[in-house]
Amino acid sequence: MQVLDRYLAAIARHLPKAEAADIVAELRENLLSEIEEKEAGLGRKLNAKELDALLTGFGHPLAVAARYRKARYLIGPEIYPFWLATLRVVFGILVAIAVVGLIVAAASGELQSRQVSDGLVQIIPNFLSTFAIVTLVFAALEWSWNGRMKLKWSPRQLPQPRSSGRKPIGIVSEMVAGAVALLWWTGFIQFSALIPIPPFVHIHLAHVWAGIYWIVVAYWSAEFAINGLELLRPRWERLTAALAALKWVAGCAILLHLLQAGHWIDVNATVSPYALASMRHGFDKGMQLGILASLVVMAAKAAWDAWRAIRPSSGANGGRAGTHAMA
Amino acid sequence: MPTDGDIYEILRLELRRGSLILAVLGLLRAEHYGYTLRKALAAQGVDIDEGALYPMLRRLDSQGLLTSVWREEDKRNKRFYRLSPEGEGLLGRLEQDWRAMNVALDKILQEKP
Repeated sequence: MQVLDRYLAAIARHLPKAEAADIVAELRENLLSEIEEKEAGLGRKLNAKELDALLTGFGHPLAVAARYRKARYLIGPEIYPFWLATLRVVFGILVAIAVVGLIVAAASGELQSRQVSDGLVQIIPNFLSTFAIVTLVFAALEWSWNGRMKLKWSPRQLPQPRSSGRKPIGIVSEMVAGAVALLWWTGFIQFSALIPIPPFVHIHLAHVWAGIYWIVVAYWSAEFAINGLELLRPRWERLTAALAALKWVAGCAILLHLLQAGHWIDVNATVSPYALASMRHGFDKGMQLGILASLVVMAAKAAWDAWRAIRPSSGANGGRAGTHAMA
Repeated sequence: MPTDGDIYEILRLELRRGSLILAVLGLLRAEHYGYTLRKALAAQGVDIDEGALYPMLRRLDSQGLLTSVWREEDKRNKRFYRLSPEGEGLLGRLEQDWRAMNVALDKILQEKP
């Protein structure tokens, strides 16, 4: 029974020391009884393969030993949702700090594309150390409260239900992106250092863009305002969806106007005339494809938001949202 | 994505988990050691994984619901378990709950829409 001894010794290694000998002695008797009964049924000793199969069926030594230990969690099921929610908030703050840092650096004209990639690499250790600290704090709470967490809370402190499918983080992200775009468009911040083109190539927006300067300012300002309204008044879904649909339609009109221009980027470079012409064609072709793709996306979004604005209420949430809209 | 079979197996295990303790306590009105208890349970139609049964016996013992004693049988020392007086009291209360639950469930499951 050398195999049985090895198996039981492997289990014993993972048992609490004070109980290991007792548990293993009991397991040995139970296993020997089972082996003897099988041998009596077969009328012979179990061969090596049959004995291995019996022990394998009983379970891996680690798993068997674990069943004798009291279950302990680093983060238990009761505290887990609070740990996850805290991590989300803390990671959100870290991302916000990184984005603000990038915007400030870009606005001061000191940002280079290399710095962006370096910054992205540097943020990983920050995330990992934050993850470790938050987890350690919650593990300490789990240990001290022994999984019995009592939080004071009231249903009246909970936020209003959101009828919209969009999450606040998505709306805020779109607002930040829109604000950055508006600041860039109005010249408050520059991203030219971030565009990966050779230093002997100079690109500028063509004349067609100057004609729609204020229209674009109005468009992005309206987008910012509509998103802000959706964030602050989540139950005004029909109104914000209708405004968003109008905004997308206006966006489509702007893009259609741009498409007619046929030339969107001025390119100058100290290269041969043939290479320059090819470069200009490439930039304009890329821009044309970008405008067309944006047009398709905006049209689809206009249709979707128009549908959200007029669709009949359905389900408990939809019914409430419809009944109490603007309340 | 769990299959229907997986979901059935999970629900079946949840359904059995509580009732297994009742079966173990019930059979330990007579003395058994681990292996014979498992066989007795199987003979009554209650299959239980030995990896779950043996730790359960020690836990019930440490909770004072069982008494245990090492005794020689067939020239080998075995640990025998039996329901303690506290265990008998608790089993009586659990049995009442079980019967009440059975009656309620029978009624619910026999109701036709």
